[in-house]
Amino acid sequence: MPAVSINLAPKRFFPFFSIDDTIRPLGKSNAQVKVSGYFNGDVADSFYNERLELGGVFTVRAPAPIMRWHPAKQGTTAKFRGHLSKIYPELDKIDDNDLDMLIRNMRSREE
Amino acid sequence: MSSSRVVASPPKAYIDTMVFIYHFKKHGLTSKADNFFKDIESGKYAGVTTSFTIAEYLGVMRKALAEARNSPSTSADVARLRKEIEEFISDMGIVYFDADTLVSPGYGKLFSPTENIVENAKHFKNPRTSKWYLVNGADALHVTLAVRTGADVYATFDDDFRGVNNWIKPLMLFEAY
Repeated sequence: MPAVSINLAPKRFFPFFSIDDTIRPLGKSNAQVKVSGYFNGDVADSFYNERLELGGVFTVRAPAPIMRWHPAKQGTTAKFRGHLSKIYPELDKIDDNDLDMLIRNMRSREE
Repeated sequence: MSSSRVVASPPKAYIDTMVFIYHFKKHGLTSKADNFFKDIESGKYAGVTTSFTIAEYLGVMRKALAEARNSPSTSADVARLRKEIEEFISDMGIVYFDADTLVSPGYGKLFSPTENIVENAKHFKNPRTSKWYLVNGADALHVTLAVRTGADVYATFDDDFRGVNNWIKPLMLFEAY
């Protein structure tokens, strides 16, 4: 009985990680975006996409915000200045040093 | 013929959590935070923030409420705090990013660049206090997020961020206002 040879080699998961001309570079942007798309040498943050092998062209977009910039509603800064002290008058018990300490603790720094 | 008017976005300033806190809760630095937000309102800067900043803001304000009342904050407090800051962000035209979007794999690794910032940021010695300052891990995570949003400057009151010039220009509100 002939031996059955099964090709156990995995599909090429990173066919383009060195040079990938199927991905268009971004236009003017200073956002740090990996133009090599989802393909790099690390299995953990890569996935296989057959369309790349078939010559698909991908555009990597800069991250899109939930809310975009628009001119501010005039008077907003004044409206919200010290706003929480009006809603929660008890916050006046927290002095500047206490608040500074809470802020420092926010990023796990004790002084 | 209709003509559409395109308004160019001003330079983008990533807003550190404490700037929001000092603006909303009365503090010695409230006037400086207020002047910075007036510049955003007038169009000198476009503010930028993320859902991670809001999480930090909520954490600090919940603790402050608990300490002030000597009792736990409630879910109603959280809803109110969130509503207020979201209304402010919306009315100020601040660009708001979902932090989950910024950390998706398509934009590369998150913690390696953060480590790189911690390892290579410059120390700063405050001549007034003779204390040394340097970004820590959580600070560096914000720098990574700020760079990914495309922000031009990092607006903060925290001296720890003075050494991150290689990644983003710090806007020290102590001095600027």
